[in-house]
Amino acid sequence: MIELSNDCRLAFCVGVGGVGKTTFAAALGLAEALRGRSVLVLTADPARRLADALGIRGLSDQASNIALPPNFGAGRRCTGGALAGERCKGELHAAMLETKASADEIIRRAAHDEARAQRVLDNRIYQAFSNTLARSHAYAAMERVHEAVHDLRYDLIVVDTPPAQSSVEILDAPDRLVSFLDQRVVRWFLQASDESPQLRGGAIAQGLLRIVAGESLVSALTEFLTEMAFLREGFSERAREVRALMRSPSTSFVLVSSADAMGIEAAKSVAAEVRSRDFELAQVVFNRAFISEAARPSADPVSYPERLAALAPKLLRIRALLSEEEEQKRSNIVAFCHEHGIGAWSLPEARRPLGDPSALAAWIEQARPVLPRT
Amino acid sequence: MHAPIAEPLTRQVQFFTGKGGVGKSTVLAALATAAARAGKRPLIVELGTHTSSSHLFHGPDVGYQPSEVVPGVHATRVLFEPALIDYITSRLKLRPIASLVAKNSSLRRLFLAAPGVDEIVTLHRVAQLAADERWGPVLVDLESTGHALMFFDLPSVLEVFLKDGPLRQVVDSATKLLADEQRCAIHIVTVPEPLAVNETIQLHTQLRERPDLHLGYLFINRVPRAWLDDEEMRLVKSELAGASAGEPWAPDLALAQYLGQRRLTAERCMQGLHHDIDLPTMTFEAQDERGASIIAKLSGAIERTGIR
Repeated sequence: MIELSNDCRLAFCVGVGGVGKTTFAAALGLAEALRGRSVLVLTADPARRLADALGIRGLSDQASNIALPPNFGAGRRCTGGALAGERCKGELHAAMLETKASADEIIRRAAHDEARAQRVLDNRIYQAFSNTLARSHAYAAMERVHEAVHDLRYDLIVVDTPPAQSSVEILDAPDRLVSFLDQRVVRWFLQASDESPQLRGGAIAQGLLRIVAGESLVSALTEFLTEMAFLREGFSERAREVRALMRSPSTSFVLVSSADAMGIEAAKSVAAEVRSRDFELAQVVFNRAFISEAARPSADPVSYPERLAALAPKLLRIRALLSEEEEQKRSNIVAFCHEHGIGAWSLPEARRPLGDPSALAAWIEQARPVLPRT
Repeated sequence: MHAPIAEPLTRQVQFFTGKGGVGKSTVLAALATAAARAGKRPLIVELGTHTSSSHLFHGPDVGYQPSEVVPGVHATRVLFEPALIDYITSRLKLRPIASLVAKNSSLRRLFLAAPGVDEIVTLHRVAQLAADERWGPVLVDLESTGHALMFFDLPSVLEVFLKDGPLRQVVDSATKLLADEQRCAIHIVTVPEPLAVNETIQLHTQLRERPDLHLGYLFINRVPRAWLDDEEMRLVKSELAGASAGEPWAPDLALAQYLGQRRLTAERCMQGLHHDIDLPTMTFEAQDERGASIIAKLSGAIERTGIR
């Protein structure tokens, strides 16, 4: 069974769209809960996929408790890890990041003061920023991860990132925020009218910014930064913590991909994105790499009985085509693993849409290791 | 009297949207190939860090400047840094100064951190390419529904910035382009699978609520082949339930049954799509081939529709 290392506290599932990332994140969270851990699966994808995979009606910013599959019911034993064989106390929680709700909550909590919080919430730049823009979404995700990691209810946070482009946003969010919230940089924006020599360069650049972005935007931005000034240190501090956390040994990145030629190319570019930021790519999971065992013909030649003679050519052709396709995928995966010096798992095509924890558990149990990890 | 509305696939700018992994890039590549064969100058525009077209065409890597991926078909990728410099250049008129602004340490940190900058410079670049008369049609690959939202909703999201000034101009030119029924079409790509169909119907409803957007085609990609006819399906089913259970050939029958069910599911999905989405539809069968040969097949199918 696919599992994270016992000391993993935070796992990011990354990959391009349409590879089954959300379903996998749900299944991974479930597998870890069945090993006895208390897990939060946090999806940053606004589509309903995580709720659908878990068989619940909807998810919100607040975590929902997900019932573990009944066939693993009361009195069950943990399936592996440090707690193998012991009575399982695992729990599964799930939440969906809503940018606006999360951002408002962060401001309220950080402000410690209703009036001050309200001034930020009413700011028109804040209102535009807390909307559906990719970077805002990434900052909200970062704050939510920070909060969840410090929540003692959870042993492990599994983050389902949005499709490629926006998942890069999430990977970069802490670095970008730390870099911008530097005391000197913010001061540069707020005091560009100051006549001190070290700020004169700032005044010139700010003049250029006014031409590029417009007078009213720059004024509004300055106003926003002034309003937010008292929150700067807190944001900067948390961004720094998340930045360090993302590179700590207790954090894993799991790349989810399809195994066809196009999928492999996409996986290569996502792997490069992850590694170029010094994040540790722990595992690669290739989804829909084979048709599940139940529908899989054996490799041996079969002689069909007389009554199936008319069907035989078709059956043989189906078998040949599918074995060829699976073989191609397998060799793609092996080549990828060699090139990247990393182990991988392959998962079968789900026979029907996975819509509840039992189906998820049965699916992820079919994972096969492709290469022994080195 | 109004001019007759242009056939969507002949319009200058075409956006492709749909759930990730449904083969948008493949459909787009096939349309570009068909356009090139008809003597046009198609340009594929990819957003983001990852390029599909260079792999699809087995061509050279696609960068910010349009390059020819196969004879007659060009592709470009909208990358943040050069798109930012292009945008600043459009304001300051002088590229060397624009580069200095983009590289100023404090401004740079702002541009990289501020929400909306990416969206604005991308929109500016796409509008710039759309207005460039060297290209036509310009085929824009919106990576995900999130990207689609970025294009179609940005004006309302950024309302607060838009009272006046340069950003107003960027958004106005994009809005004007999207609203122009003779020049612009938005196509939806999907596959006939339950999850994708649900998202597609949802996406279609959202786009329909916007009277300023003009939808073109619904492309249904990768329709699984019908391996067995009804009678053969019945035989497989009864064999599996009776005489063949446990026999060495049973897995082959199970596989055939599975593929048959997959086809049935796909047919039901297509009925659902036809029922809920009233767009002209193009359907592409799943192909055994990969890469360039799949594009050749699909572009052949497009040419047979006779749309020029």
